[in-house]
Parts: sequence; structure tokens; C-alpha cells
Amino acid sequence: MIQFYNVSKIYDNRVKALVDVTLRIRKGEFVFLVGPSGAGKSTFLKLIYREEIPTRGQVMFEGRNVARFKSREVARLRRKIGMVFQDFKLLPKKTVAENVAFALEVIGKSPGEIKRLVAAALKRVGLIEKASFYPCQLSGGEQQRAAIARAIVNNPLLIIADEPTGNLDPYTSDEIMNLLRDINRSGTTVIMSTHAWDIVNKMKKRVIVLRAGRVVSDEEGGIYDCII
Amino acid sequence: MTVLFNTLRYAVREAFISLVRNGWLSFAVVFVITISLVIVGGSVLVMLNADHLAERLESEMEIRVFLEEDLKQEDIENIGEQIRSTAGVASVEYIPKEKGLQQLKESFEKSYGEAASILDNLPKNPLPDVYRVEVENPKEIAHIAHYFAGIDGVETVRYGENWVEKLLFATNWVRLATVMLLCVLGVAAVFLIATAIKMSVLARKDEIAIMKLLGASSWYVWLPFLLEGLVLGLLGAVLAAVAVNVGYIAFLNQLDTAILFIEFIYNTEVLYLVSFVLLGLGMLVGVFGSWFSVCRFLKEAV
Repeated sequence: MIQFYNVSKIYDNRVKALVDVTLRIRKGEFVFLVGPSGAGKSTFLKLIYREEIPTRGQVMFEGRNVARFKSREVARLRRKIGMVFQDFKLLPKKTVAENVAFALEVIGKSPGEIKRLVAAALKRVGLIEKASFYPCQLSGGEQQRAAIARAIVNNPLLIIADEPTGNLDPYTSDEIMNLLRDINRSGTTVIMSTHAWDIVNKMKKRVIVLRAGRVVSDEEGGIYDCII
Repeated sequence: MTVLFNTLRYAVREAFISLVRNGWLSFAVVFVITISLVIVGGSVLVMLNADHLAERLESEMEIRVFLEEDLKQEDIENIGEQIRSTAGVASVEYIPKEKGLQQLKESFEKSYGEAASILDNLPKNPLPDVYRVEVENPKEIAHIAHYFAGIDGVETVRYGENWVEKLLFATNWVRLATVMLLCVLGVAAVFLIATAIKMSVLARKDEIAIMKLLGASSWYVWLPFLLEGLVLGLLGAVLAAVAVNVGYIAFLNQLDTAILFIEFIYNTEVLYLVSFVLLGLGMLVGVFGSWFSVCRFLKEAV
């Protein structure tokens, strides 16, 4: 589904965020992207949803070069990707249900369809009782579940999660991981960046280790040894 | 189709929320646009009326050729023949001094009644013999008049030269001043709208960033702001159009009795035309201002 061919990304300030990365992520995979801060994890993810364009090499999504997308195609690409962030990125002035509905509103879905899909998504993350709460009234874990509901409400092909447990305690993190695993089991590809080695080791999934912008290891059922 | 409808519904709602949230700024923008457009509308009406007046004066214009005293009848006829045979002359009427005096008396009696009898006591008819000449094309009037002045036996030649020239001169100044004012006010209006839209965009910066991540199309993101600019421009234009219409009609009612000899344009078509021009300009300024602002943000975002 996603291919990186000799991808390098160098920012204007000459920081080499990624260096010559070549790899492939198949449909239905669950992939961890690990490494210390500044290793290039966020850049890797941004290249997929075209927040950034590679300096060299190509990023392909479903066989098409993402860098060549026009703005309309970028919008269409992002409708196939659900995004989850460390800081949730929920709108504080909207309720949980409105935040989830927002993902459908912005792509022009009808009110009836929105209502149905939002209820289904909230049920799936176990947040249907708190649909009319505002984000500030929720715990961190609940906010992240709301964000996941928003990410899956449009039934995406791919979930990109950028350190989704970064702000959460271990117990809540487990909850979030179970949720992501369930989503993956239903066929959605998941790419998740993290530096929580305990989570990675527990899940036994494919692990791509980045260090100073280079892929230093890429193993199925891999272990993330924080000393690497 | 439903996507389009939902997008539009969302854009309209968000545009009005922004208008209200910006409050005073929206008010200031509408105010400036209204003032600018009232000035534009007023100037257009002044110019249309001036053109109308100039046209009328020109069409009524004639040349009066005053002859020297004590010319022989033969010379007078000779001059008349020269005038008639000049190219561009439409009609010629000879008014001998006796007839001229008679006409003067009649018009005096109309205005002053009995007092007109002072004219009877004149020792001698003070008026010269006159040829009244109408020309085919008012634009050639100066040229023809100068030719007549050169004929032997002609004392002076008069035509409405000063009137028309002064009027055209004034009209040109009004036009120039309007264009200059329009440029200054237009820039101010566009700048103000751009500022208002910038505030709206900044107030929703996070929301826009999230929208882009969720796969909203550019149209979806920016349409509310374009609409906001459009509404601001349109609101100003509507107020201006109302002000110009009401003002012009009130002005006509006031002056209807006062200045009879200047005929103002009094038909609704002119007002419709001016109103449409104002509405068009308002929308143009509104959309241009917000487009200007939005483009700057579009360059920042990928």
C-alpha cells in the first residue's frame, strides 16, 4: 500500500530528518515506528499524508507518487487516512460528537449519514455516553478515544498515529493500544510512532527502528531495545 | 450535489458566525465601503447630469452674427448669402434691428409689464441687425463662428462658447477627482476587508489546520472567508445604493422648484443603473479583498 523509494528529507535549516529510506508497508499491517526523539518518526508520517514532500526519492500511496498530487488529490488522500496525535487535536468548542462529526462535515456528508456514522464510531471506542461532553470535561484517555473515533469514522484504509500514548499513563495506554489492535484486526492498516518500548514489546508487531533519519532495523515481531 | 449543498450551507453559516464575531471590524468595513460607494454613486449622477446638460445646451446652441451699423441693404444680403453658403450651416434667420427691438419689447412686457415702455423713449434703436445661425454639428460651432467673424461688415459673433467649455471642464474635473478618490478609497476598502478576513482566519487557525488534515477540500476551507468578504462588500453596497437613491430623489424634490432652467435627469432607469454599478463594485471589492487575504494563507500552507 505504501512504498518509500530512497526517500530523503532535508529541511530548510539543513537538518537531515530522513536519509535514503526504502521500505514497503502492506495492506492490513500493524507497524511500529520507533526511535529516539528527532530520529525522523514524525517526518516519516508527514511524508505519507503529504504534510511534507521528500527532498529526494518517492513516496507512493496505492501506487501513486504522493508528491505529484494536486491539492484536490491531497484532500482525497487524507480522507483515506485517519490521524491520531499525541495532543489529540480536538476542537475545544465542540462536543465529542461534534468533533467526530466534523471529520464528515468537512468532506460534505449529509446530516443523516453523519449522525449514523458518528454514533457507530463513538460506540466502537466506548464513548457513546459522553457524546455531548466537551473535550475539557474528559480524561486524557477519553480524549484520545474521541480522537480515534474521529479518525475511524470515515472508515479509512490507514490509521496514522503519532505517539498516541505519549501523554497517557500506562493503564490508559493499554486501553488505547487494545483499541488500535481491534481496528487493525478489522482490516485497517495502522502505522504508529512511539518511544514506549514496553508497548512495542508487548504487541509483537513489525517494528521499524529509525536513528538519525536512517532505518537501522526492520523486523516482524520485533523487539524495541532502548539501548539500540 | 448534496456535497455541494452541504458545503454551501456550512460556508454560509461559518461566514455569518465570523461576521458577528468580528463585530466592530465588520461594522467599520461596511461603513468604509458604504462611504466610498456613496461618493462613487454621487459622482456618477453628477457626471450623467452634466453630460445630459451639455448635450442639451449644445443642441440648442446657435451663432448670433451682429452686423456693423449703417450697412447698405445690398451688403447685408451679401453677408447673408455668404453665411448661407457656408458648409455645416443648418438654417439662417435674418432679424433686422426693428424686429429685434420688437422682440425685446415683447419679452420685457411679459416680465415687467408697463415698465417696458421705457424702451419707447429710446432716441434711437440701439440694436444691430442680426443673423441667427443654427449649425448641423454643435462640435463645429466654434470653427464656423470664427469664420463668420472674419466676414467684412460683421461687428461681432457670439455663441455659447463659455457655457459649454466651462461645463465640460468642470465635468472633467469631477471625473478625475472621482477616479482618484475611488483609487484611494478602493485600496482602503480592499485593505480593510483583507484585514477583517485575516482576523477571521487567525481566529480559526487550529480549526483550519485540523480541517486540512481531515481531508477538507481547499474550497471547503476557504469558501466561508470568500463569502464573508462578499457579504461585507454587498452590505456596504446595499446601504450605499439606498443612500444614493434616497438622496438623489430628495435632492430633486428640493430643487425642482428652485432651478427651472437646469433640467435634471429624472427617470428611474438612471437610478437602477447606478444601483447595479454600486452592487457590482461592492461585491468585487469584497471578493477581491478576501481573495487577497486567503491567497497569502494558501501560500503558507502546503
